Amino acid sequence: MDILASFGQGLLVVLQPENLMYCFIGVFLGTFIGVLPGIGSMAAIALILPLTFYLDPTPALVMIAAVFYGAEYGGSTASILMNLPGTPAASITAIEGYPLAKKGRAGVALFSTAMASFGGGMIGLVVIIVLSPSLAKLALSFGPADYFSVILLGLVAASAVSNSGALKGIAIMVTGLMLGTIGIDLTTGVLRFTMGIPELRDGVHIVIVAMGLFGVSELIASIRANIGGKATQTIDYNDFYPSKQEWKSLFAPILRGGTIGSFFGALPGTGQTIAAAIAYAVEKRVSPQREKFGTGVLPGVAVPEAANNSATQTAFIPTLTLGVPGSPPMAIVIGALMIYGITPGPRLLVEQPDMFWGLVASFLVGNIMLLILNVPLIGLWVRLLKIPYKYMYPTIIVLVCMGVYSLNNNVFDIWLTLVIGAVGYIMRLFRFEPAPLLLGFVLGPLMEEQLRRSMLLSRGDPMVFLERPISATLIAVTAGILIFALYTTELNRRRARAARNKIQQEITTK
Amino acid sequence: MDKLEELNSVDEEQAVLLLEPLIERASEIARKVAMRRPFESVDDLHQAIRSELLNLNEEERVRLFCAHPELAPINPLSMTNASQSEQGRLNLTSDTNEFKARLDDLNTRYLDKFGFPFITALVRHENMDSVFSEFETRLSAERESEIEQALEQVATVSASRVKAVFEGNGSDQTQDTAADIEARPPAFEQAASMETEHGIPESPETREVEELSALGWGGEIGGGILLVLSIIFMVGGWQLGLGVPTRLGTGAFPFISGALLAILSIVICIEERRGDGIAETPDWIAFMAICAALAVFAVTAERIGLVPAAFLTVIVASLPDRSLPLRGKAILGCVVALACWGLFIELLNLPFKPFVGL
Repeated sequence: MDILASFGQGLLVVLQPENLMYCFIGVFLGTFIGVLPGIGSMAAIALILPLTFYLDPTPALVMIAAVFYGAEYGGSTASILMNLPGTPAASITAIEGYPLAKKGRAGVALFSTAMASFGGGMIGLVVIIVLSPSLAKLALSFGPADYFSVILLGLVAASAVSNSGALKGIAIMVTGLMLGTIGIDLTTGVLRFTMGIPELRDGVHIVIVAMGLFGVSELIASIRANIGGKATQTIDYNDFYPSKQEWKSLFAPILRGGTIGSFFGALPGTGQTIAAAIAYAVEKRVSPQREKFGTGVLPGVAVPEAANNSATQTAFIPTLTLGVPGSPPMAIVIGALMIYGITPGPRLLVEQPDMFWGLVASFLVGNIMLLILNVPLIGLWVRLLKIPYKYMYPTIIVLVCMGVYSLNNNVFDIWLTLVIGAVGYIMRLFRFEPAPLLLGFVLGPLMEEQLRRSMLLSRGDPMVFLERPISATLIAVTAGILIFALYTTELNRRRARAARNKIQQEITTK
Repeated sequence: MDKLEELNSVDEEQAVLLLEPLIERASEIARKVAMRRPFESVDDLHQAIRSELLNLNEEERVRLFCAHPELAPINPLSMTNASQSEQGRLNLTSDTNEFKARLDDLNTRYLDKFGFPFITALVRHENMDSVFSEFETRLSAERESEIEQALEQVATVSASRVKAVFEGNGSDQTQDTAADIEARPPAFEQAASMETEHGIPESPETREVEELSALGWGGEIGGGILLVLSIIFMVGGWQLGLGVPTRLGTGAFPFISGALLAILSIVICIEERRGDGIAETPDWIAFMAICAALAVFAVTAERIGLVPAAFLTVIVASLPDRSLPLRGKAILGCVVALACWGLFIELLNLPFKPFVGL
C-alpha cells in the first residue's frame, strides 16, 4: 500500500502541466530522432541534454527519460519500413517487420509495435515499482568499499559484453576512467591533465563526450549507410488495425517479451539489444506460429519490441537505486543528475521522493502518450523517412554545434567535440565500440571517491574489498563475468579466424 | 569440424565474418543471413542468401551493385580476395591486357546508362569474347530488367562461392579441394564474377587503410593509440603524486587506470597482430566534411554571428554530396540558419548573437 501511495504521489507530480509538457516534448523529439536511421537513442539523448539544463531537475529527468524510450520506440519504424534499424535493438524487429512491410502489411506491423511497446513498458513499470524500494533499502547499508565494488561490477559487466569483445570493451572503459580524471581533483583541489587550458579546469563536460562519440562519429558512419535509402512503402490505413484473431495472437508474446525484457534490462551490462534478441529467440521456440518465423509474422514483431521497451524502463532500477548505470544511456542520466548536484543512489529515493516517484509515474504517462501520439502520427514518421538524408545530416551537425556551444558559450567546447568525434570514428574503424567509454567517464570520479574513502577507513588495507560480505560477493561476481567474457571472446576469435582463413585460402587457391 | 556446422555454432559476429567473403561487399546481407542460422544444408544457406538478396528494394539493389569493385581495377587490394582470383583467371587484373580500352569504353557507357556498374558471373563464360557479347546485349536492355539481371548475377556468384567453400570438403583436404575445382568444368565449381567500380575514384587514404587491413595492422594501431594515452596518464599520475595507501594522492587513480590500460593495450596489440582488420571501409570524405563543418562553426560563431555560422556549417557539411546542387545547399543552409535563430535565440532566449559586426 505504501508503494501505491508513493506512486500516486508521483502521478500528482507528473500531472502538473509543466512536467506533462516536457514529457510530451521528450516523447515526441525522442521518437523523431529515433526514427532517423542510424542515429540511436544515445545520440538522441546527447542532442536533447543541453536543452534540459534550463529546466528544474524533475522535468529535466522526465524529459531525458522520455527521449530515451521515445527513441527506442522510434527506432522500429525505419527498421520495419526500410530494413534500416534506427537503434541497434530495432534490428531484431526488422527480422519479421521488414518482410511484413514487403507484404504490404507495414501498417499492421507498426500498429503492433506501438501496442507491444506499450505492453512491455507497463510490465517494466510494475517491476520498477515493486523492486526499487527494497533494493534501495538494501543499498542504504552499503559502505564505501561495497560501493566501489558495485561500480566495478557495473563497469565490467557493461563493457565486457560490448560488441568489440571483452578485451577491447574493457580497454575503452578504462580509457573513460582516465578521461574522467581530467580537471580539478575535488578532494585535493589540484588540477589534473589540464595542459594549462583554463577551459579544462572543470573537466570535460559529459555532453561534449556524448556528442563527440554519438553525435559526430555516429553521424559520419551513418552518412554512407543512408545514401539512396528512402522509404518506398506507403501505409494503407484500411489495413492498419490487426484482425481479432491477430489481436489474440499478440497477447501472450507481448507478455513473454515484456517479462524477459524487464529481467535483462535490470541486469547491469545487458540492455535492450540483448533483451530483444533473447526474447525473439525464445519466442521462435515456443510460438504456435514458429514455423513461419522469418517470413513476417506479427508476434515476431511484437516480442522484441515489448522486450526492448520493458528493458528500457527497468534499466532505471540500478541507475536510480544504486547510482550505477547498467548501460551507456543510463550513464548520461547519471551525468545529468550530477550536473544538478544530485548524487544518484539509494538516498535519492529517501531524500527526493517526489523526483523518484515522479519519474516512475512519468513512464506510465509517457507510454500512454507514445501510444496516442504514434497511432495517428505513423503517417508523419513515414513521411519523415522520405526526406533524403542529404537534408538531414547537415541539419543535425548544426544542432550538435548549437547544443555544445550553448553549454558555456565557448567555442573551445566545439573544438573538443571535434577531436573526440574524430578519434571516436577512427577507434570505431579499429573495432573499438565507443559506448563503454562514456560509462567509465561518468563513473570514474565516483569510483575514485569511493576508493579513497574505503582506503582511508581501512587504514590503507586493500583487503577491505574482500572482507566485507557484500563487497566480496560483488567482486566474486565481477571476476566470474570477467573470466567468462574473456574466455568466450577468445574462443570465438579462434574459431572464426581458423574458419575464415580456411575459406579465404580455398577461394584464393585456384 | 564440418564447415556448415561451424558456421551454425559460432556467434553472430563471427558468422558475419565467415559469410562476408561469400557475398561481395555486402556485410548487411551477411548479417541478415547470419541471423537466419542454423542452416540444415548448403542449399539452405544458398537459399537464405538468395532470398535476402531478393528482399532488397530497388535503391538497396543499386547500392549493392555500386559497392562492387572495378574490372581491371587500379588497386587490386581493394577487392576481396575471392574476386581477385576470379578476375585473375581471365587475365583481367593484368595491366597489359589488350581488352582494357574496350572494357573501359563499355564500362563508361554502361555506368552512364544505368547508374551502376556492370556485373556478370564469369561462370558462364569460357573466354573474353562471350563476355563482350553479353556486355553489348545487356547494354541495350531496359533499366528495370537490367537490375533484375544484375541481381541474378550477384546471386549466381555467391551461390558458386558457397558451393566452392561448403560443399562436402573436410578441413584437412584444402589442397585436394583446390585441385578438384580446377579439374572440373568451370561452369559450376569455379566461382567467378566480373565487376566494375562506380564512377567516384577511391581516395588515397582509403586505399592506404585497406592495404593496412590487408596486412592485418588495423587493431595494432588502435591498441597503439591507447598505449600512448595510457603512458601519458601514468607519467602524469606519477608526477602528481601517488600518496600513501591511507591517503591516496591526486595521481593515484590516473596512475592505476593508466597502468591497467597499458597492460590491456599491449595484450590487444599482440592479439591483433594476427589480424582482424578494420571493421568497415572508412568514409574519409564524410569524415573530413563533418570535421570541417565543426571547425567552420567554431571559427565563425563568435566572429560573424550564429546565423551566418550555421549557414556556412550546412554548406561545408553537405559539400561532398554531389546530388545536391549548390543552390539546394544554399537554400538548406538558409532554412537551417533561420530555424536556429528562431528556435534558440527567439524561443529559448539563449544568449547568442545572431549577427556580429552588423
